[in-house]
Amino acid sequence: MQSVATETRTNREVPRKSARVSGIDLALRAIEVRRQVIEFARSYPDMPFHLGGSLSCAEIMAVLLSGVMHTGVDGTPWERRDRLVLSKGHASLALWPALVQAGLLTQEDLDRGMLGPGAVIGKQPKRNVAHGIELSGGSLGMGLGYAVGLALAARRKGLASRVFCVMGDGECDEGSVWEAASFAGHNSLGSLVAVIDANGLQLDGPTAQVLDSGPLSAKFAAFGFDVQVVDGHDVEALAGVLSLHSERPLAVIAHTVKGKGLSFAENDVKWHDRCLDDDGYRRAVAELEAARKEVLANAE
Amino acid sequence: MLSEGLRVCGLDAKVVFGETMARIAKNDPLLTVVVSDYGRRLNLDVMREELPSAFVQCGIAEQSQVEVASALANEGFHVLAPSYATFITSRVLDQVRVMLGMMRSPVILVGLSAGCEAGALGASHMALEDIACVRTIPGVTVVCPADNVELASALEELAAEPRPAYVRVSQYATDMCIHAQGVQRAFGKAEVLRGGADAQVAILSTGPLTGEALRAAEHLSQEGVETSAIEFAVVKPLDTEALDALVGKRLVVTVEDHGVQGGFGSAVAEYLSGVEGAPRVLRLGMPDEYLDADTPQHLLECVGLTAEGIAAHVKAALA
Repeated sequence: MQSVATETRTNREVPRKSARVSGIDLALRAIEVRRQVIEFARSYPDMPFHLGGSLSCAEIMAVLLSGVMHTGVDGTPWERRDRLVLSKGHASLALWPALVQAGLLTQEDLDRGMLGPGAVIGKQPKRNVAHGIELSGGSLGMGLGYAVGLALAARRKGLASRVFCVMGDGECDEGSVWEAASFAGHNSLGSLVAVIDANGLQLDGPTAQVLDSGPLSAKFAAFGFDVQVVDGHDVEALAGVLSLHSERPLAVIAHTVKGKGLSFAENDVKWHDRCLDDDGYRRAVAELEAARKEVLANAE
Repeated sequence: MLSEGLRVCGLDAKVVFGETMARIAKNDPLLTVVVSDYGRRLNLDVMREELPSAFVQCGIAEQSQVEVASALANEGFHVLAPSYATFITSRVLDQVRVMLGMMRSPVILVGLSAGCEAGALGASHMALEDIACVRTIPGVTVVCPADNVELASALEELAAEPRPAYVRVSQYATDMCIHAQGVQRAFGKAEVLRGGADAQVAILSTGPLTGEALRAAEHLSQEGVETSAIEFAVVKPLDTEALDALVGKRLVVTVEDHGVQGGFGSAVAEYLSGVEGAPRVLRLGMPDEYLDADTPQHLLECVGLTAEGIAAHVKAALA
């Protein structure tokens, strides 16, 4: 492989995949992601899962993998595929069903469970590129730097791949996030998209009280990013902003609700990580079914 | 070969790093050097001319450096990430755990001015814990070349077959050019610099104090304590066959310009603790404290890491 000068730019027009997956479908897929998140918790009733931050990013995951990204199993050449780096690895419960929807994982992969050497999925991701899992673990603040490296590799290879990095707003406390953001801005990594699942809560409480990250949009703008602020539960809006790209890296600040979809968990820091009991499971199933029917009713 | 070896040994190790990168760049378009504002001193101009995109600047940001380097390595590039030894190891240890350990990203970290080399700057810039930090990460190869010929050889070997690795570079005014004729043994194998089988004492060394260890072995032998000198350029994975062969010695001595806790000596002691009939191990290195800023030579003299000091430590241990 010959190297490609870093100055090379390609003004590319990446078609929005949501032209093929409708907004209704994306909304239903997000609900299905939540449904599967609940099933994972049900399968391991004694294990506290990071339900709040998994539920908040269900639309982000579904829209990225089914509506925006060229996954490499959708006719895109594998090397040219877009990459997804889940930096907030605790939200992997939402990643697994979205990868199944995109055809990068199978139900059999899920059925192997989350523990032990035979598992493909887990409470935290384990790098497995063939399944679209780019980064291991959930040590916060490492994903954006890794995504920057992936974007740089694509540039050097002359590939038009885009790299999406999903982070938490609490995660932006980590200094390494800003080392990576500096690099991305300085090098005009236009193929990089940082998606902030801004659910406003972290382990110790409201992000604004723990360590106020202030206006993340102004911070990313100051680091050389284009910034889009969006309702992170609006699949059409998400698909729209995630398909934008320019010569500069893009930060999408997606305002979300932690625990979204489970009325008893929404905006409650206790549901950062918690076991789901029988009663909680039944309520969750009923509420998600009602949400699904509402989407279908609105479609008619 | 000899004159070229002596020329290389006489250079600053950072200059040798750049010369080696320039040589690799001629044949390897995948070569990549990711730096954190420590590029200017690394003599990289020729490499950058040969392969402009091989140079990646992260600024003073070692966390980003390791993350970016790991992604590039996993995308198929042959990546080296040099910085001050303490900053590319202990400062970014979690990145090293996740990226090089768990993910097995084939990045070659290069720790410069390790040991006491940066002694004049004081403890913040001296890397005396770096081997200890990195060798606890599963799957990371740890290399401490004794001289610049061995440094160049190790860098070429690793760049040709990238793997998660840490190359520790330190250099002192009194270093001996051990490999002026080139590196003869296979990568990872210990090298017997002074025999032999009838020695009562074996001095094992890693890094640039290997010359002092060899001189100490010569002194001791002249004084009637027959002593062998064996260099372990690769601290991990350790050449355990060479250690097995030490059963029956009266004393094994380890020498390194690293803290006595957790470094090469600890690795040797850990292994020998499980070997039936293994000899006693005397670990020589930097003490368990942060020393005040001083010249490298004075620091090494103070703790007895010179040929004379090592010989004195050995005689005291045998008394």
